[in-house]
Amino acid sequence: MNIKHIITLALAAAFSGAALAAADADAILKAVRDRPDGKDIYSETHLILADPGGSVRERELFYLQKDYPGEERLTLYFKAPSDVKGVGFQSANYDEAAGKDDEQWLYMPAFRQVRRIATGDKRGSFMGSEYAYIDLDKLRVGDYQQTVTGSEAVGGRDCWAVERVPASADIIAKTGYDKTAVWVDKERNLVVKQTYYNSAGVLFKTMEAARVEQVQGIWTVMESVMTDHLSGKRSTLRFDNVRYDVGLGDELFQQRVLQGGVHEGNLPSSR
Amino acid sequence: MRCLNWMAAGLAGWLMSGTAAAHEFQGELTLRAFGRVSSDTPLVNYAGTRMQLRYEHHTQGFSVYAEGRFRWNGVFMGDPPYSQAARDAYEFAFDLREAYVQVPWAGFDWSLGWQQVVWGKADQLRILDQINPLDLREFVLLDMKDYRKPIPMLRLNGMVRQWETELLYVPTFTPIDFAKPGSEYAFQLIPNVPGVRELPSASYDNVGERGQAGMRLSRSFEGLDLSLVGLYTRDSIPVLSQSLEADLLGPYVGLRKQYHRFFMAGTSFAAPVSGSTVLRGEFYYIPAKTFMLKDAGLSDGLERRGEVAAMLALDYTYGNWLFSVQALNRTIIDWAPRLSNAENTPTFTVSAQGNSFDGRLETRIFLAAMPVTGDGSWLQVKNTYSFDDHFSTAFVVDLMQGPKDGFFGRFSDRDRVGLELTYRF
Repeated sequence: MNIKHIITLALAAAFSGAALAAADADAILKAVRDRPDGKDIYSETHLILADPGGSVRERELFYLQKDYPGEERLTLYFKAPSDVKGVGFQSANYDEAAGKDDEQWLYMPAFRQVRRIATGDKRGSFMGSEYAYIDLDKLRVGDYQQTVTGSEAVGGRDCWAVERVPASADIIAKTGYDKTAVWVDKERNLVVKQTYYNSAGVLFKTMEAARVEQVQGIWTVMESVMTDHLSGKRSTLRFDNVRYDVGLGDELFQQRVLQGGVHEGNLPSSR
Repeated sequence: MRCLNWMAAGLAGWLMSGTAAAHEFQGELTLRAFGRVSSDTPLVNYAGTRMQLRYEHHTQGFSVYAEGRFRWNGVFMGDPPYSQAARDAYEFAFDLREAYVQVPWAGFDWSLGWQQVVWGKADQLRILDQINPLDLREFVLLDMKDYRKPIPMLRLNGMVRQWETELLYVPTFTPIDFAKPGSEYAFQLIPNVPGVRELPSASYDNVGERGQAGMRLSRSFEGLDLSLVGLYTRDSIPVLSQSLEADLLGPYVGLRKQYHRFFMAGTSFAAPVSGSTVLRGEFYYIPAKTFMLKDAGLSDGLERRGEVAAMLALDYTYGNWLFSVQALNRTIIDWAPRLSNAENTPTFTVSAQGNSFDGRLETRIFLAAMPVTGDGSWLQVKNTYSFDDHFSTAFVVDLMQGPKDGFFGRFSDRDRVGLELTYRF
């Protein structure tokens, strides 16, 4: 075997290793994206904003999600406190394979109008929290190039560590993230930790799943915490009374529900 | 009195029935102080309170919504340069913002009571938003919900073959409320000149004369929100009919406010045109609307013409900010120089709204200009800072500019700067 053969074999091994790592990373994240999560989800959710000074603000909202052919619809409706009550948010997230941009609408009680929002810039803060609108989106595998960097234990769980780099400048502009890393529970296919890097390469935000439980046989993040390392602020999303397959009606995902409100009258009594 | 006692007891019993959470009460108490900035006579024109209470009750069978507002303007305790009519109307004022019951039945939500309905996608421009009249005691405000008057109606909302369908019937007629004569924003509709007198306004006593009906169909396609609207209504803004009258004092020209009917067909849409930009549009066609003539001659001074309006707008999102521009033009079809309205009335607006400091500071800036017709411009800036979930403070600046006989310019000496302190519960 001459030197040329050795180099060729070494290069083949290196590329196949890299290809394997890339393929594994895609497969891992596809498994996360496609994990079963019921036909619909109902939750009474709390968004808790804490700043380093000790000040805490809490928002209560209904979190409603339902699968439709080729898409997933989300309705968030704020019920407290009074300065945000009645604010509603809806989105339609299309399956990645369809190659379609998702859609979003916002209802502000002050205007009594449902407003379509552009989805090319999702860096904005969700209701003043450390979660950006992009952080609420369904995971999209094709928007990033990802690589498995190893295995790590997170919260006592064996996880894949996957590094993700935006696949285009459009994704950077949309998300505000130059790089992210996710830790995926190998057994449960659940993201339990995610870190975010800005254009200066600084780790500026971390999301951690603080509590994971099995609800109706589906592993569910019941509480997640997003910490901004630059400001020291922290936001917690706590999902209470999570229920799958409760039979959420189609009217809860139509725009008119944002004007009339999500309430006892249009929610299933069996939740 | 006994009947009232029974009603009160029944109401108390109903409120106490069920769990506390089933009856939702919310409210806010605001201290407000506003004053003129560019007038030769600086003046505090509002120093008082505003309290709003909201009630909701929801069951599987029905929902109840009610909201009321009480305002007290303490400037009337002093010796302000306002009329007795303004004092009587504005020193203490209570108004209903909405009060209705909603029942799901036959695939529709049926809402009966006093409601505010907003059609269209325009910001601060009344194009398809024609159902509720306005209360102009404080002229124009940044939030139209604060001066849109609720009216009694029956409204149905439901889905018909993938279209969100809304039907409404309003059994009464409610005109626009101009500010009372002798108040801060009094609007002189009838000229105060010798030989001209105001006659009693036209009244519409029959249900057929008063009612209005409308329908809206809305649907979201992929990448497009579309609404189609039809409305048969009576214009809440009056025109003045003229007639030659005479009494013991001699002949005079009588001017009478009339509110004429029209039918409007319209459409609105919103569609993303790039990653960060949404295009909005709104359009209406009115086949026959009543306009006034410059010189009545021997006629009643009114003529009917068609009118079209078209608006295009762009919304640009950048982080926590939304920037919008709107361009609207209203055109009178078959216009003639004898009409007192201009053939074209273009209006331009530029606005920005966003939040900072983790959502604690909300900033809204709105500029409207009607440069071609000489109606001037209006700039409003409102900064609201929330200390916590209960307390917030707002700083508001309203600047109006233009010729003295223009829509905004007439109040150019009534610019206002103000502070609000609000407690929410």
